[in-house]
Amino acid sequence: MKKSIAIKVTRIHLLLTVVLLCAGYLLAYSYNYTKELALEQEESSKSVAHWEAEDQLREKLIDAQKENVQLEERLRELQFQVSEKEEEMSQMESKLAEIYSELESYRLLAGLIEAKGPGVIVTLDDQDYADEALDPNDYIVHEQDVRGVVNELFAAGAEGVSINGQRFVQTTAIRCVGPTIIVNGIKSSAPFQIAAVGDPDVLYQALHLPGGYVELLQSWGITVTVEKQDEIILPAYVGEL
Amino acid sequence: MTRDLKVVLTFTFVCFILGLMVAVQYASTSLPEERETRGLNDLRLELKKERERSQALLEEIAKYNQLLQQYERSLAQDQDPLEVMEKERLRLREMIGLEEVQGKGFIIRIEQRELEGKEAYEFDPVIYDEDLRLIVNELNAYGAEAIAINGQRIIATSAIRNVQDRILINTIPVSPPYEIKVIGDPSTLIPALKLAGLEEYFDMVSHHVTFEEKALLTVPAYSQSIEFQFLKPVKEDNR
Repeated sequence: MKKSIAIKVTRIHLLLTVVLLCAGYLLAYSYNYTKELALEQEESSKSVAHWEAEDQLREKLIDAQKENVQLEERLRELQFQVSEKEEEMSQMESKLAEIYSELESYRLLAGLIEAKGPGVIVTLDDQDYADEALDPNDYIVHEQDVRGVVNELFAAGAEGVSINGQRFVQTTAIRCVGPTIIVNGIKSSAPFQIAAVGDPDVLYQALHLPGGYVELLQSWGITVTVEKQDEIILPAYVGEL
Repeated sequence: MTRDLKVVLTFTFVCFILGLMVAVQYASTSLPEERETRGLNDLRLELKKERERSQALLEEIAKYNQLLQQYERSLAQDQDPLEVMEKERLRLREMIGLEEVQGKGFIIRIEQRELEGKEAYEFDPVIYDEDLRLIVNELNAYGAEAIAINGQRIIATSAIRNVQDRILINTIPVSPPYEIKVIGDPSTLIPALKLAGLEEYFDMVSHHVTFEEKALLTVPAYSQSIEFQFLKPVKEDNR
């Protein structure tokens, strides 16, 4: 009689095989994964130094910003004091009163003092979605669009303009870098808010003329809104003109 | 019976381990890693800007302080108030373009090219308002001190605008050829304009751009009146 070497395969063997296979796979995967994690942690510990540097910079930046807010407040106080003194002097003789009113309008034109008045706020925004077939340049706001709107507002008698909180002064340049716009050296991105002080009705009409700027920009797929305002505050420009 | 129990126990144990592993795996993969992505460079730039601003603020503060002191002295009868105010008036007038300026600078001339034989225009050989605005913008970006186009001084509220086929600057019609007088450093401004592709751009619309440096150049004053009907200074009592 020959011995049979065949092992009787039962259901249990099958089940165990499947389960152990899964277990083996999971073990291997886990092992690999934790190895990767360890590597990542090593890298992130390398970047701790970087992160600390960033943290320090951030703190310095916040300090500088705080300090500048105080300086701005001090400058404003001084400007008030100067104009009070001028007013006081202007009561001394009529010639001085004449000069005083000139000084006031010069400072308004220069944009060196905070100013306010009625006007409009024009908001330009890139088109929300773009057709794949279109050139992406066709539906984003460009520097010439912003320049064009500002120019149109001045042509319609605007007395002062600011763009995203930057006062438009004689030396202001408007530049585009990709999707951001740089005004007075300060970067910002869409939507672009152009605030203009002047006769709200006249400014509104000027932009809405047939063939005017609103129509033109909309035909390029730019979202344009114009809102009349009773009071707009234009920030002061700080720096050399 | 006992063999069956053994199998069940083994099976249970293996399944338990498996479950545990799956749970651990899930927990460790679903940890989101949140980190700020703003680079060091951006922060450095922002800090630099902030410091420049504080420098500018301090300079302004010094100016106003000085003015305030002069006013106080004049009120105490040490100085003539008229003289002090006149000085401030002139300083502002020069700053905003109401006075003629003399200094080092250059002249940009934009003239239409002669057509060579039957050369066809690639583009309409016309200069538009935006073309001139572009030049003013570039000049400002690189620190020009004073600009006038065909005798029209550019100030803060100047508009350069096409009306039909003419360009109006400060509501005054100007016609080609265009001559732009600039006070500023020619050695930075002219290369900047060339780099911006000014010559190539105007060449496309059949125009020549030439630059002429001047050791002494006169830029005229803005000649119209300035009156504000709507814009008012923010004062302490109306804030």
